[in-house]
Amino acid sequence: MARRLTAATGLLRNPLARVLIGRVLAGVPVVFAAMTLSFMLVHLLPGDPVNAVLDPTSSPTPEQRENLRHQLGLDGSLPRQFADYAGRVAHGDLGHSIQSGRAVSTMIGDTIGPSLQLAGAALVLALIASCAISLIQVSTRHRPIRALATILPPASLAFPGYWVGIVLMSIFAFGLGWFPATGADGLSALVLPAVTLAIPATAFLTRVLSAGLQEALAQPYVLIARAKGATPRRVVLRHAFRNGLIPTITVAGLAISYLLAGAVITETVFARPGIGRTVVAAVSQHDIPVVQGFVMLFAVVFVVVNIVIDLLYVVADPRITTGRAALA
Amino acid sequence: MQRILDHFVFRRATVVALVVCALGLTAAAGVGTAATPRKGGTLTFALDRDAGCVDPQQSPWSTVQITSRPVLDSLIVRDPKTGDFKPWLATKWKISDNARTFTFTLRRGVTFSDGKPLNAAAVKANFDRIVNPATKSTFSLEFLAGYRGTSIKGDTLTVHFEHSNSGFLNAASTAFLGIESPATFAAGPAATCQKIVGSGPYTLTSYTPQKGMTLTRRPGYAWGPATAANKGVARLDKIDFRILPENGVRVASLKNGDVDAIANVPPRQVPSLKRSGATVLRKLQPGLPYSLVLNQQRAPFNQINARKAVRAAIDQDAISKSIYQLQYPAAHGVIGHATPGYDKSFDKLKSYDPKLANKLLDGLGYTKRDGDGYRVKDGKRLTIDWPVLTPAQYQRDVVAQLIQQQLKAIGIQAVLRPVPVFATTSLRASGNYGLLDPQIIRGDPSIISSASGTTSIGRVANKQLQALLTEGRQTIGTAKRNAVYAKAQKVAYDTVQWISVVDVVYLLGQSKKVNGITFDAEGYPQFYDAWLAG
Repeated sequence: MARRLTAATGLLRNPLARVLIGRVLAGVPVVFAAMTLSFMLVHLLPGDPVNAVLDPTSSPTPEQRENLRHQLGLDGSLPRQFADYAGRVAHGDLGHSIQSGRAVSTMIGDTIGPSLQLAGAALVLALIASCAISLIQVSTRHRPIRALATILPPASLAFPGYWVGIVLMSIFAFGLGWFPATGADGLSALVLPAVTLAIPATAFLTRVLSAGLQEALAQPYVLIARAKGATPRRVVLRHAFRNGLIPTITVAGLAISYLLAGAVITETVFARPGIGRTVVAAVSQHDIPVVQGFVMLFAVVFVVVNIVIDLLYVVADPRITTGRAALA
Repeated sequence: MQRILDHFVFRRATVVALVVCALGLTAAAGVGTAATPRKGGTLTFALDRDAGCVDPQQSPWSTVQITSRPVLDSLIVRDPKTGDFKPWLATKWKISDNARTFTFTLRRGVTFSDGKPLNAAAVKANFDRIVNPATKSTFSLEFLAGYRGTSIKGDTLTVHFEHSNSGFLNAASTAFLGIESPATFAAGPAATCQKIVGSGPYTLTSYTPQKGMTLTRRPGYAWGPATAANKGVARLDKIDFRILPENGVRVASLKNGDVDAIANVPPRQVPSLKRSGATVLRKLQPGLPYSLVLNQQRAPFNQINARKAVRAAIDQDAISKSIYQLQYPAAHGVIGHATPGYDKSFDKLKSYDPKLANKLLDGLGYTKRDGDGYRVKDGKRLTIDWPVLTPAQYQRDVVAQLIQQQLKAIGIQAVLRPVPVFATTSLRASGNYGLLDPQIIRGDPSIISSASGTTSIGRVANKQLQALLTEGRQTIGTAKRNAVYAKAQKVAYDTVQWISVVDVVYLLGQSKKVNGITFDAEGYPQFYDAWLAG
């Protein structure tokens, strides 16, 4: 008993654990709000919510309507419905697809893998590319190259994702035959979609990283490092880069949500199975339980990503926790 | 007589591209007989969407009609050329005079691919399953409206209905009423959404949602539909259906030989596909054309002259030309050109007449115009509230904008209001709209019923039309039925129940080595006769 207590206090003393516990607790209301919103989704539509999942050309029997009402959990009072819904969600039961009858949780399980692969690969590519571009930007003396490194990222944002995807596909898949054009079989099929998705992410990561770098390079400690005779490479990589990275971590977190959203278009263009395409199909097929389930999923992903970012902060800059501790 | 082929297309001989296209269709239709079909190979066919459920007894989506047709046989087949019914699983059939009972005599020796016999009891099990609410059937259930049961006697089965249902024969020929192995029903409807088992020339061997499915030739198949050129087993080893949702990617994949054929070619891409050496098959689809239906409960469109004015303002030819590059032909009648029983005299009609539209509106008292050029009466502007579905398909959002311009020219303001697809059923139930723009594919003139009456979009029943539609449901025999529905078309046109805009066309792209893809009476591609040149 006493040992367990010490373990608990020990846990609370560990700054990382304290941040983790605090963030998880803060995430609970966010997930709850998302659940309420996804529950309300069907009630916010005009008319009988059962209609929302019915095809306008079909004429269901009254019996079918009642079955559907029951299946959607729409029988009973609103608070009762909400309590039932919350209870089911808490047990991991997100309902069943109207179209296919499959469990929404199974559909998430089947599609999240390829989507995470895609988003993960795109994030890694974007981080590597943005680091490289920002480092070139601050270290090169060659003006045209610096101009190019400055202009290219924002310019790439001007091209819509599906267009970039099709252009890449026609050059590297249809033209050169290096990668398959569509599908999700093997690593080679991941290259083109990941690059397509990484381009806009690179653009805004570069912007933040190079701003951070420039700001760091203007700090007195850089001047001191230079005065002490550090090489330019050491100044940039050791002193400025680490400090300039902190805002980038925040943006990288946001980028993950952005990448998951962007996956909708990339998955459609490259015909990859994934959560984006599942949601789009569900929306066009009036499949409300699936849409509700994926709203929940996105909320959970968002909360988890934010927790991870907060933990990364602590690792990257220990002052962040000490600051909090002082306030508390 | 009920020519499904594009006779209409040939009328527009001035448009060279279309003639070339139509000739391509004729040529393709003839290939099956001209060259000797080769056996073997895998046809890769790119679809534009995945319905998430492969069972046509449950899913209303047209893509399921295409993918399930090679797997499931139907009782009868409708000849796309003549509109007549021919034997398939049933060798003969009889309809009672009141069109309430349908007796089919089944062919012997037919088995499902799981080895179970396809007999009268199996067919009965299918119909009973469709009407079971737990199955959540959509169109299939609608086709069996008023179903009272099936009785069996040896090789014959009799389907009983509460009221006349002369459209049942057409329904029985579609994949919506394709016969599945009853052994698969025990596992529940969600199971058949992932795998269907039928008696067709192919079996479904794999399905991955969003990715596609593989059909494999079934050995020993010998009961193809009477309309097919093939009499034995299917010619292809496999059909690989792939889902490529993005239009540009689908077209590029065909051009580059990644796939052999593609569904739904966007009209704008037809010329470039042809230049690349591919063939584009073009098939008019029957049913209700893309149409504008005015809410007849709302003034002034409760008055026939107001509806006539709207019709006279719509220039269908301009829409067909500028938005669909003439690939989707202008529709001037009441039902689609390819619908059996279509009244050909509508071909010559051109309702576009802005002068008449202005005259009619003047006659209704809308003589003044406000500062924006819209007509007003008693201080109220003449407007139509038009909820437009988003996301739009077939560029319907652009069409709506063009029609908005055409209506503005005669002083009517169409207010386009985007609504999510989720809201459509509620919208229809509420009647809170001035105009909606439906389109339904159905290879039977009885489609007029779906678009008429108090529960339809127009919301007001025309007594004369309803009487004719009841008569149509009770009438059997193609010629007699067509005569009734011809009258119904005339009444529907004269009273402006809806305004047809363009016909729906199935545009299928295929490479040179693909042969023998045909179209059924509803204009969906079929693969039983298909083969690949070596």
